[in-house]
Amino acid sequence: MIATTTTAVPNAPTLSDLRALNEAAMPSLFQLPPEVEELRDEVRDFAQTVVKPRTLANDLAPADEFDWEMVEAGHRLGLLRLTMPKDLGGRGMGVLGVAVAMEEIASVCASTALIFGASLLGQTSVLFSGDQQLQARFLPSFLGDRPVLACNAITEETAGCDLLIPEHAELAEDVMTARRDGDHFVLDGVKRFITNGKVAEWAAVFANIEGNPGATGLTVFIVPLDSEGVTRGAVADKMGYRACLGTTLTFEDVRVPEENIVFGEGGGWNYLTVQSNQARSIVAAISTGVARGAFEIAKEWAGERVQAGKPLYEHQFTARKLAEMSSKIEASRLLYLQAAHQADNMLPAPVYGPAVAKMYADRAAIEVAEEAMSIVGARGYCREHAVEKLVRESFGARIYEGTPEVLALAITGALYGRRL
Amino acid sequence: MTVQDPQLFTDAFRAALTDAEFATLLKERDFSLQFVLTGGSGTAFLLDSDGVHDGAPRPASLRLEVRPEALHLILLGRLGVTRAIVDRSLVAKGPVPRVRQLADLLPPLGRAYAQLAPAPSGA
Ligand SMILES: Cc1cc2nc3c(=O)[nH]c(=O)nc-3n(C[C@H](O)[C@H](O)[C@H](O)COP(=O)(O)OP(=O)(O)OC[C@H]3O[C@@H](n4cnc5c(N)ncnc54)[C@H](O)[C@@H]3O)c2cc1C
Repeated sequence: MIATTTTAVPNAPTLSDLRALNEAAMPSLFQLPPEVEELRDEVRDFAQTVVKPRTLANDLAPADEFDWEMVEAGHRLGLLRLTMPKDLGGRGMGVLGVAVAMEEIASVCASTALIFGASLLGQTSVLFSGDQQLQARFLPSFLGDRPVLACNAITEETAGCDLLIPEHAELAEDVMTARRDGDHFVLDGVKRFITNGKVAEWAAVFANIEGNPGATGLTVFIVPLDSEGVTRGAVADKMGYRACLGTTLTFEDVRVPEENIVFGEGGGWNYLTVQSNQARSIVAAISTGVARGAFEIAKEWAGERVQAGKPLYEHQFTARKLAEMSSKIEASRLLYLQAAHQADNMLPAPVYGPAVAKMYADRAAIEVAEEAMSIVGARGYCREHAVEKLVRESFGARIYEGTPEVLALAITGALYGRRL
Repeated sequence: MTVQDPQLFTDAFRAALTDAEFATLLKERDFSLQFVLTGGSGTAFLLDSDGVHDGAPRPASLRLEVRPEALHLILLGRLGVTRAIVDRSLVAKGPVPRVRQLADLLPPLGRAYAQLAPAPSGA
């Protein structure tokens, strides 16, 4: 018989926990800037102390209930003005900072992350345009004491992915129209599944200038949602992402002054691709957070739960599951960090990196959450268990900001140097 | 000279640097700009507080890969930097806050360029 000794192996820092690597004097190809590390600490504390205790209640609440108190706590931290430059009163963060913050929140509640993420996305067009007149009109409300949200309205009843693939512009049907009337445009149409649509102050609305086929005249309009003719409809009763409200927004003869156009008439497509490439790194971070949240629960459980006389993690099949889950989280995080770093150092951000990061991380989140539930067993299949909610949430990011099929067109198009 | 002629830009930028205030601004901000003209010649030159240098002699704070027609319009104030980025006639590589600082640097360059640029034909 071979004698064996059990030696305690110290917890090695993971591959992608950059600060832990640094503290352990382990080699790392890159580090997070100190201000991003600081933000991560603040947001981690917010996620653990404010979001986590309310997450199950928010998930089980009726579809149209909204937790303004939680949003207000995030607002005090500056989460609703995260990307506004410091000289405008914001926190001056780039895509990397937002992504890292979103991972922290999503590790306990992806839908809370999306409340903040969708509002920041709504602001992006106004911020990025550099249009001082629009900025003066639409940004100061995010600096007050009261939390204010924005939203981004693209999806329609007949046009979903068609509004995310520029090459399909001509094929999109029955797209919301914008008809010129003097120095105004009149908007008519219906937007679906708009995160924050129920509660936002204004929306970045994508509409087709009348007379252009399909969505070839896509244009961005900033529309205050208390404008005459705007109706906030029912909230979608979603399987997951229940803390953020996805709403139908109906626009009937809504008059919008022409100065509310961002990037000019017909500038919608070019802008949309810029916006998507930035947002995809952030959604990849949300998926990474979901995977991490589920993994942490499974890891803890596998350490405590004893079957056949030993903790689950010592059983080889479970050990393998945990190892694969951990590897997927590492890969997801490294991919989104690299994609976000590119977005902060290249305008327009490249197509390839963010699409790869999102495609991988979205799939990893589903796989990791599913394995986490299997490790927890029956308890994890019950409504009141956090892992059950993470399983439902893991499917959400695969739909918004580019399905795997949309991402595949972007990635393969980039590989061949053309748009598919 | 035509808009396509890279020398038009380099001559204008050299002229801009004779404005001491502009040269100081570049120096104080430690700002250098690598221009790469796309869609044809691929000409590259670097502007810093010391002058305009051929090629890419050292790393710059920002690298602007830009179509000459777009650079022409940007310098004349007829095309905004963000619009050029969105329509992909300009790709800016470097920290995004540096891109925002272009707002302070472009007017002096534009003034010098306007002295040399060919008069608009019709439009
Ligand atoms: C949690 C959540 C939040 C959301 N928030 C917002 C928001 O804030 N604003 C907003 O505008 N929208 C939002 N959406 C909507 C989302 O962007 C759309 O659902 C998405 O773009 C897909 O559109 P669709 O659902 O109409 O699916 P469809 O476009 O009908 O697609 C259905 C299926 O067909 C596939 N498919 C479609 N076209 C092709 C193709 N050309 N080739 C191959 N396969 C294809 C898709 O990949 C998908 O699998 C949100 C959705 C969710 C789930």
